[in-house]
Amino acid sequence: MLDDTQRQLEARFTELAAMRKPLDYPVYALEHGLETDHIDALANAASMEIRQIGLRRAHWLVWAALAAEAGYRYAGDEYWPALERTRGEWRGNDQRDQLRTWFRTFHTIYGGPVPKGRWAAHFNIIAWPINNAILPRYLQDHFARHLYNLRYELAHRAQTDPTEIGTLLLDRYDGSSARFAYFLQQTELTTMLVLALREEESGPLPRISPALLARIVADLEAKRLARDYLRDARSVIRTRKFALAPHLRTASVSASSTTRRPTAPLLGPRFAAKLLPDRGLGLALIVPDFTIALARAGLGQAALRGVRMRLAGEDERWTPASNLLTLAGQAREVTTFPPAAEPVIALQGETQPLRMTLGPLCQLEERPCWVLRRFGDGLYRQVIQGHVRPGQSYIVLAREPLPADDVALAALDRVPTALANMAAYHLKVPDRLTDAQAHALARLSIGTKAAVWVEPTGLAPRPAGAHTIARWLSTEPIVLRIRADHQVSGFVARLDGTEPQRIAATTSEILLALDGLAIGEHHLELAAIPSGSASTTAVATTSFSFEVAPPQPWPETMRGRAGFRLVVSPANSSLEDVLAGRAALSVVGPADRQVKWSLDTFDAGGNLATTSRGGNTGTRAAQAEIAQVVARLRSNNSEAIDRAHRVDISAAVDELGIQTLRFPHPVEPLRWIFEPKEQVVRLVDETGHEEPVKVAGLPLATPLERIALAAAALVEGQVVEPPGMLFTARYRGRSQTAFVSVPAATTLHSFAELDLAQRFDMPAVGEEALLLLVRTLALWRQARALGHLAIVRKAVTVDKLRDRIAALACGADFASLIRNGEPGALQAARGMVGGSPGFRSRMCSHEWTPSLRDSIPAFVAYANTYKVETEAKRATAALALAFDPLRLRFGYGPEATAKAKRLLTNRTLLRGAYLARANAGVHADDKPLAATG
Amino acid sequence: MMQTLSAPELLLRVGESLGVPGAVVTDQLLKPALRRAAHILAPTARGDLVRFVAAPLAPFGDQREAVEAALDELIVYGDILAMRRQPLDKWDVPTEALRPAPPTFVRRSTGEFIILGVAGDHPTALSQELEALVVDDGLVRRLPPQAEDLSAHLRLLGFAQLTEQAWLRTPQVESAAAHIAYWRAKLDAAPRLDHAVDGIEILDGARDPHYYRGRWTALGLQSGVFVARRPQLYGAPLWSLALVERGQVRRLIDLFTDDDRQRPCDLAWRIQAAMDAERGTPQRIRIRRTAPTVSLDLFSPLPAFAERRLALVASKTAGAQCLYSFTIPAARLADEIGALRSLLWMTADEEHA
Repeated sequence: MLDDTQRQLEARFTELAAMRKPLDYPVYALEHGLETDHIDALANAASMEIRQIGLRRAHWLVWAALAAEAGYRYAGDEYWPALERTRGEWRGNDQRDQLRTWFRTFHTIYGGPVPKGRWAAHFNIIAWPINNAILPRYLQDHFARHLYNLRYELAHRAQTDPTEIGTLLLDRYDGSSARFAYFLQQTELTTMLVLALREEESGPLPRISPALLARIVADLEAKRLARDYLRDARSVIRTRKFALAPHLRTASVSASSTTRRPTAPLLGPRFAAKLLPDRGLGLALIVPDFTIALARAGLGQAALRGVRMRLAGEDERWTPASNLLTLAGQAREVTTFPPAAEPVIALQGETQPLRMTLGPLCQLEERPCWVLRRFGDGLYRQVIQGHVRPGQSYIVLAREPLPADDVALAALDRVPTALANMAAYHLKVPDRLTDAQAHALARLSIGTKAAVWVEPTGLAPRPAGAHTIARWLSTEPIVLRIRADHQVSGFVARLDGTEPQRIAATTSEILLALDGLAIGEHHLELAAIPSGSASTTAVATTSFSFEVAPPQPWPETMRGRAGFRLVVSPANSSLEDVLAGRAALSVVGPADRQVKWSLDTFDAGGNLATTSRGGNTGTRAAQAEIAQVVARLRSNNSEAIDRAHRVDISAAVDELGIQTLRFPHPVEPLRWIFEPKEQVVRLVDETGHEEPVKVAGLPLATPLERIALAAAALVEGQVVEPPGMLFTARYRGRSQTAFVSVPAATTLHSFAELDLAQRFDMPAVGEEALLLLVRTLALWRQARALGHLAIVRKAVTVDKLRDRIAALACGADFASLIRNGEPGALQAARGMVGGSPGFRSRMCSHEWTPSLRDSIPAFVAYANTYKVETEAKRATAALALAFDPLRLRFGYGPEATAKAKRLLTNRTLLRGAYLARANAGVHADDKPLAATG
Repeated sequence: MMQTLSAPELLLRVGESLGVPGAVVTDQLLKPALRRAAHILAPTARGDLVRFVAAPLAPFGDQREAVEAALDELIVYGDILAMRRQPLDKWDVPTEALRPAPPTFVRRSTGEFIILGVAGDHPTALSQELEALVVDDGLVRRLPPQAEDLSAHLRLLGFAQLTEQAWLRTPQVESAAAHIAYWRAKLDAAPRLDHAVDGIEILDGARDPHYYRGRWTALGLQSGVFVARRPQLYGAPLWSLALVERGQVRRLIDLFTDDDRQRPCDLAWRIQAAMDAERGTPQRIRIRRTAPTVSLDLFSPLPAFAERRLALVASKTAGAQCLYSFTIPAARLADEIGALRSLLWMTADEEHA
């Protein structure tokens, strides 16, 4: 049977390769063309052969087909069991490399796909069969949803640049499934798949065998949700067409992305204003785009390191200048009118080249008055040229009240404002300006543009942030109402520099539709052709720039507009930080509302695995109350969390909806799995076996003790004895670590049970003890917590290791005071630091932040000034030990020992560093509370 | 690529984009256009939202009044949320801001689904297959009962589920006197004013309750507690409750709730209903039987909770010699009248043919 099938497959793949090679289409091993029953019998026969004889090259295509089949149907947890008919057939063997060799041969002979990207390098064997499986079944839901979310962009890309479809899919993924993110790295494959789905019935030559494509589509449509997503996505991708000629499509895209923007002059800060109910005029400054300025000057964003900034009117707070990059384009409120000749953005600590580059962008352009036009969102934004157009509304700002006569003639209305040293006026320009009004405006240095103008009609475009360019979606009609204030016989319109088009008009007004425009920026130039009595007047012209953008998935865009927010502090905390209480959750929303908390877990396919209600709190609940809810969710779902590929924590507030924090689990070729019922830990090994996997264990009872373990036994599975153990597996320089908690009793009867009896046997020599503690801390910190109470027990162990490092560095009595953290204890610790009183004082009085990077310059300076430590490197290392010991790089061997020894010699320095950290902790704890109200 | 359009062609194109194919009048577009605008501008002031939708429809005439009315309905039924400014909002967010409700469904005991909310850049968060089944009767969008329960599927599509009770937001039943006492206590706790409140208008309970607009008047020499509206710069007048002594406002509170469950106008209309009932002139419902349905003619605006309840069983029409009417199946008459009596202390008059 195996011989026959091998011959059959050779013929099949040879035929496919002959058709596809000229078009550079790959052949996939899953395109074997075998029936399901045949595959099943084949798998049994191959299994028998591998057990009795071993792998035989004579049947290499059989194995390629079977491996691709396994890649197609495996559930996303482990690949090798899906290929096995008998347990251990592939998990335990060392023949995986042979499989890879055969897939390489498949590539060479038949043009099979080559896995690419970081994932392929990482999972360098299983990437081959999975890549040849095209779209593994467990990823199909993810794929359908992603396709649906990007359907409009894909429709556009399929016409303008089809080869980049895969890159688009990769770039636009939100990362909520690590497995799917890996899959998307196969950009050629996903490109091929999307095009195959698009051209299923219309393509000249199938990119994927029709039968196989039908199988994939049928599997995709087996579930209603995926079916709906796929059908809706395909209907858009197949039917949406853009009317522009190819050269224009590419021109418009490139003009927007490469040519036009970078060469546009950079604008400094501009005013924005809003008329607010009961508050009058609110004034803001639109922050310039400093990223482009830095790039044009050949400076990286790193040039802002160590530089601080402050906006006009912010008297006290200096913040890192890197904030400017995130503020770009935002309108920031100002509470005082910026004084003349002073920068509106003050910088501190900048270099000369940086000052030359950014200085002009920090200055407001001084004018007799500033003209701000009202945009569709109600925000008035500064008009650079300072002119006004008929039919539009404006705010005019000036440092002094404008001459009353001209104000009256120009029809300016004074706007009340609480800001001193300025005057503000409102101006509604009529459709036809009188000469007197135009002249009065001119005397006020306000120019007028008239004669022909353009207004969006039907659907208003989106105001695009700080930019004055209008934006429509590719699904929306772009219709412009074009009007002239004199008699015209028609208009001449030119779009994107193409041939001008004459448009006849019976009145001085037309509705002009611009159809089928590609995504990107566009530019319309218009001229009004005078007629009748107006034929002697000059030809009036105007231009209108706008952008066409693809619609975005609604869950993404609606999140920022919701009536409440779920906030985690610090931002970007991990799931473990949240579950362990190191990161706090809070809800910002209307008072007196009930928040329903829940925790959902998802499997590899993105399907909901478990859902758990965690109780209710109020919207303004104290963090401690929310922490209790989180703790309950953690303890009720610990097994589900361990198994999950993604965990979502959600807060729901009736009609305001649901806000969710998503925590995807990364997947590594080596990983630990814990079966809580059997109390068995297992090592999943999907590595290439290019070198032995080294495994060790550190018992929970003796966290510094390292025990060598056999990898093969752990691949099979090993029972973990109470109270638990930390397991670490190392392969090619990368470690995977998990802490498995196995309490003697699953029910916690008292909190005292959390206070584990642990023994920390340390070397007698200080520097060796320090190295052991820091390295062990690194293992514990990175360990994934598995099993009952694992997160809590891990946190306890990490804290104890940190305490022991502090005791070793500063002495047990000093460390105890620091751990206490109360003002009295810190005062006592201050007395024990030693060295200069000034140094001790600075360790408490300086406003230390939890950021090590931000704290280093001041600490090094104080250590030097007060002669505690003149060597900056050592001062930095001491501070790193106190703030985050894992930021220290000791290296290995005698050099590491020497570094540790030198660090431990200056106890005053170390105590100062720990005291600074303790005070930074005090400030840091204050901030989230203040921020969440 | 470039072509001139007539106004009807413009209407068709806008309708197509908003999920209303074949639109022939602007009214059909207003609610979808407002949902779109709420997503683009949120959080935003009511005036900005209305202008954003109405200005580009200028070729069809001044649409502001129609847009205002459509917006009110979207707020009443829960597609757009009227909320107070939140702590993390940006500087330019007004005190009362509108936000789009997220895609949400209410599963009724009948198996029917009410579809609420805004789907970002898209006219709907439903799949094409489900969207084709939606019935839009002008008040709420409904998905008729299907062979299978769609709740799980809708949740997977990203919809939030709202219970019928949470959607209705029905307040507690209490007597008119108790309701007035609650607000009177709040008013009495407000500081006494020693200055005039310019431009204030009051809803004079002594005037004919059959003509709502006619009950609003500038302050004269009245005395008593009045629902009032006071003007504010660059915004709609604020709903207030005022204690007036011989034409002078002595105490005043602005009407709002911290939890954003009731709009200020809803609070005001319920207070007025209570005051009318206590005065012995309860607000009236005129019942007109036109088997198999019954029309309820109303002379004062209903708070949102009452309109939502009626929307479950009724269709709404512009009123003839009344403010507006709801048409309900005759079988629902007793329940609905009962609810209006207990929640708004109203009285029903049967019109005989």
